[in-house]
Amino acid sequence: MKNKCLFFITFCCLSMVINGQSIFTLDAQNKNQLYLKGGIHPNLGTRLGYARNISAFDTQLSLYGEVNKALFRPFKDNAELRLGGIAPLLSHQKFRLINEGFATGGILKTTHFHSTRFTVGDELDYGYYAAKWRINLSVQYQWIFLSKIKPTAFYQDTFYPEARESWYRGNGGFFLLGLETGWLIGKRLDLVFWFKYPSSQGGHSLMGSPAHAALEIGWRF
Amino acid sequence: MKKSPVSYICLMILALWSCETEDIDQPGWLVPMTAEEDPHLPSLMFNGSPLHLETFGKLENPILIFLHGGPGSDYRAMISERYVENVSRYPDQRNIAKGGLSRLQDQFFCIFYDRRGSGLSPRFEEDQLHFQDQIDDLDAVITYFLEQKRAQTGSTETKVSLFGLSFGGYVATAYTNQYPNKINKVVLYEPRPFTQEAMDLLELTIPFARVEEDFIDMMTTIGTHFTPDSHARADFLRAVPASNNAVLELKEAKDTPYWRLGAFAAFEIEREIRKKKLDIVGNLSAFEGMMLFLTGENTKAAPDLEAYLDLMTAYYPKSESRIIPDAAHNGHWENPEAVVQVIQEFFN
Repeated sequence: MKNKCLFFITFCCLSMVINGQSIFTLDAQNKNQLYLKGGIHPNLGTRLGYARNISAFDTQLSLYGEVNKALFRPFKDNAELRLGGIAPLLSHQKFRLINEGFATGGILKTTHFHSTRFTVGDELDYGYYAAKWRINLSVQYQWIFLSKIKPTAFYQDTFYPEARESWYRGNGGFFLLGLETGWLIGKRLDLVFWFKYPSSQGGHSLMGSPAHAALEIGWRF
Repeated sequence: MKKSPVSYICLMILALWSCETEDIDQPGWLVPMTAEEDPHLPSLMFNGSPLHLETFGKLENPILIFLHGGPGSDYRAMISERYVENVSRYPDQRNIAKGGLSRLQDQFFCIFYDRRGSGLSPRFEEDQLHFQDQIDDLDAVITYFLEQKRAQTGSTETKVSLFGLSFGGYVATAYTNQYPNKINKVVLYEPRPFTQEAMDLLELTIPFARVEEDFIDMMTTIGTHFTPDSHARADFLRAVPASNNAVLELKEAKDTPYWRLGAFAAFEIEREIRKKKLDIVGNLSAFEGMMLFLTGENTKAAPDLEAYLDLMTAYYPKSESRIIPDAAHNGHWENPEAVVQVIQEFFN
């Protein structure tokens, strides 16, 4: 148990990210960022991603793509691709409102079914953004608009032979509510920590981890 | 015209959305329909709800009522036969007639039923699921069959016996506590601890300590593929921990069959019990019958099994305990012959 705790803490400390702070503090030379983040989001996993800042619509935007892999399972058993963009909405002195829109596609193999699902979501962050650090509240909603569910032979043999493989809609959606904080260390290193509480849109637990948390480090270039 | 990445993402989402899809909550697609939705299921109406129920044996024999585990589970594994047949929910589609504990039908009039919110009995919303309703339903079942027996055989019998598995053992004890004069004998197979004091004697591995297991990865991700906001989704999701040794020390056989695991019942009833700190043992001294406490030899939930057995059996005035060999928490599934044998010995 002690070894597992140490491993988890070390894993988080060595993991890396990107976040909304970069679009305000990124200098003109560093438009790109490669990042890796680790934590429980929603499973214990790691996300490898690339982000690029662009100027459009008279503002600075950050577009990103990232791949999530479960830490202890093969990529084919649990993975997610996420594409998104981050844009500022409002700014008053150092208080800012930031919007992040994204879409995801994910696969999951369980003993009972194999699922391929697609979501779209939006996150609003509001908080204090200084030059070198930030702290903000975060509200995210993710809508699972489509899933392909294939019951396994085990599920059909043991539980329900008539279970049907199909593309399913009406899979629900869920919220993530929490707090984020981040620092820019030197000119290139971003360090971020966040802690969020997940809840389905119906107010139920997602039956997984009662909280999501991640420690993130990003490298700008 | 140059399209932005956002346009491509929107087009992809529209293309996916236009696929031919089914409503995930459609009855019968991912989990079986309940007795309320499927008229072909055997059921009887109790307290306004059609409970999924079957009987085996002759009514002139002593009545023995089987209470499944959970909360939320069902009686399928109690009448199925491992490596032979996981029985169909439709009796006319079965190939075996005396699977599992239904072997006792030669000696008893065996009643198996799914409690409300569980198995193939109707679902209820969270605010309609109360532990006392489970007791009231059991009382209605007992009253109904005693009256049937009286009408059909002229019997003057006023008592039945109970077999409670896991959470069913908790229900059996709570019923005996409320109605001690209606119960002849009680058999409990690894019942849920009756009190917090007994609960404290168990040592169960916390999920975090199993973080490298596939099961934990599945459970932490699953709710982001479909949320448990509807009955069908929650029940489908609930089946995953049920056959993945969610409580490691119980060593539940992964192939233990169920028809449907009622997720709302599982969470709400257990939550109510913990919240209200129900007293289900305060009146057990009024019970004059015997209780038999069974434990699988492979279950490792209580580090000091002797102390745990002493405490749990002491709640009943008269009791004895037996260890079932080659079995863990699901002994009725793993070694039904041994369970049936000790029950027969206990009643004889």
